[in-house]
Amino acid sequence: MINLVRIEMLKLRTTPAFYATAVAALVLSLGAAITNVLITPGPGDPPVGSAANAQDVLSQPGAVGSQAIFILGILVVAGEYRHRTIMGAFLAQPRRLRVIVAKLATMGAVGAALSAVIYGVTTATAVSVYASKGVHHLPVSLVDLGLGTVVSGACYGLLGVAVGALARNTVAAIIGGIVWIQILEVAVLENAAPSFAKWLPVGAARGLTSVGSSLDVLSRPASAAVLVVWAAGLVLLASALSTRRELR
Amino acid sequence: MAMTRQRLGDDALRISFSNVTKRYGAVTALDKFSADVAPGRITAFLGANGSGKTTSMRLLLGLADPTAGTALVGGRTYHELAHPLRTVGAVLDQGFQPNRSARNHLGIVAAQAGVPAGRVDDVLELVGLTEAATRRVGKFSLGMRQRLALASAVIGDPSVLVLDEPFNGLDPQGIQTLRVFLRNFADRGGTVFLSSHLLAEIANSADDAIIIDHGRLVSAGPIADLIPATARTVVTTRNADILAAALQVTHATVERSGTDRLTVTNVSTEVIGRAALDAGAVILGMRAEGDDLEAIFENLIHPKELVS
Repeated sequence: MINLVRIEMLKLRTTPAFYATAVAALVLSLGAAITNVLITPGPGDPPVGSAANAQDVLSQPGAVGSQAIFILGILVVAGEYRHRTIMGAFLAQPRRLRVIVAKLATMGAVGAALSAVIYGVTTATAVSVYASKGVHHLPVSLVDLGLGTVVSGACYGLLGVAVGALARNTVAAIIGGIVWIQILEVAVLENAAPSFAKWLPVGAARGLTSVGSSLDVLSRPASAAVLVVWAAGLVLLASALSTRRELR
Repeated sequence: MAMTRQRLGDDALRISFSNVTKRYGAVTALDKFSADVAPGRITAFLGANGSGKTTSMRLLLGLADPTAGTALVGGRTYHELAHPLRTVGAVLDQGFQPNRSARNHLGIVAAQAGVPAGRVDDVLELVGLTEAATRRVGKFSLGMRQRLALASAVIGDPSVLVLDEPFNGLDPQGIQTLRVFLRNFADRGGTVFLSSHLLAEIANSADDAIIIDHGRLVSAGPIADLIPATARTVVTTRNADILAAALQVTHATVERSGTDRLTVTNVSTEVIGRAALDAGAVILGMRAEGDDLEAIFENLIHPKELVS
């Protein structure tokens, strides 16, 4: 299994899409965080340096990073089906479940690591920008936020692998994933049925990256559990399908 | 490599299809297909499009499951092989990540096969892709992709090669190189099982042929043995009736193709000559036709109705 994970890591390292997605996520996270610190709050907006403002700024790595990791997870599986390299993977390891498990382990680790990097760089930058505006203490726990971001990133990596294995079509999986996250959950359910939405993946991720906010979210342990259950459920379904499907 | 193959022995390198049936819904892709592929020989797998060649290879490689029967390598299913890529090298229509270089692609296959990364340079040189090692595979021509696929197949130093249309897209030099490589591989005791539409190339390269049509075995055996059974001799004679009658006592099948012309199958020109001599028939000429593999293939798949 360790060798299979090494191979999956090697595949990621030799795929330009990995670097492009990671850099794009970092830039977007930094841009959103810095903008939220620098822009003068409008009437009704939380003041700069307040808990709500810090929450907005420092949850950007989780929000942006998770989506980028989710897309990477999709690419790790659906990309192999798209380019038919999955055949080589299954020829090398005929026990397909092991290949899927290796991809899950890889994306769980990469998701956690990438989230940590994005969170660390974004937070360090945001703290500097806050300092330039005279805010030297943030009334939120940076460690708790960071842990939540890392756990969320790992779970979104697993979710991406599962969705990629289910859909197999890269474009359909990415579009379907974005529609699910941005439209179904964020735009519709979070407004129409927030008490239900918090049990969904985006809602659970918000619970992990919300520290002391007024949002209607689950506790952090419950959010982590919900995300893991979502990932496990989809992964089981995807694994069952991947091991039974015939390659033509 | 040769020592390993000797140690493994013949049975460990033999490919066996035994009563393999594969159905996709109402479509029967393979119907009780049985055949053996022996080590030390190049065995061609021939059949029209949709005849079941690729399905057979996929079943053999565990990419699909048979509805019934077994497809084994050395008495084991592909799933049971301890080191698949070090036992079987396959060229199917595996794809490539277009943004990856040839070297990186092979580096991944080397890791999958569990062989040292140094093998990458060896196989790049073997297939003539050293110069293109750092180029993106997406920029490769079809022939270069075929070479890379072959490099991927042999990187684990396997004892069995399963190649689906390996000559496709290769230039004449590439075909010659592959032909020599496969011959050397078989001569060292390896098993080569390849499908191809290039029948003339198969005739030059292969020792044995397995012919399949509509999922059923049509013929299997040495290519040399196929020729006498299906080749025709067109005989021009002044005494067609006499010669036709004389040939009846042999195993010949005789077709009257003109007032002074007979088309004779199933016997050699020597048998025809002796029959003519014994019967006192004057032969004006004899011309063999259909002794090329394309004609053999055509005759086996679509046998011509012959009239005695």
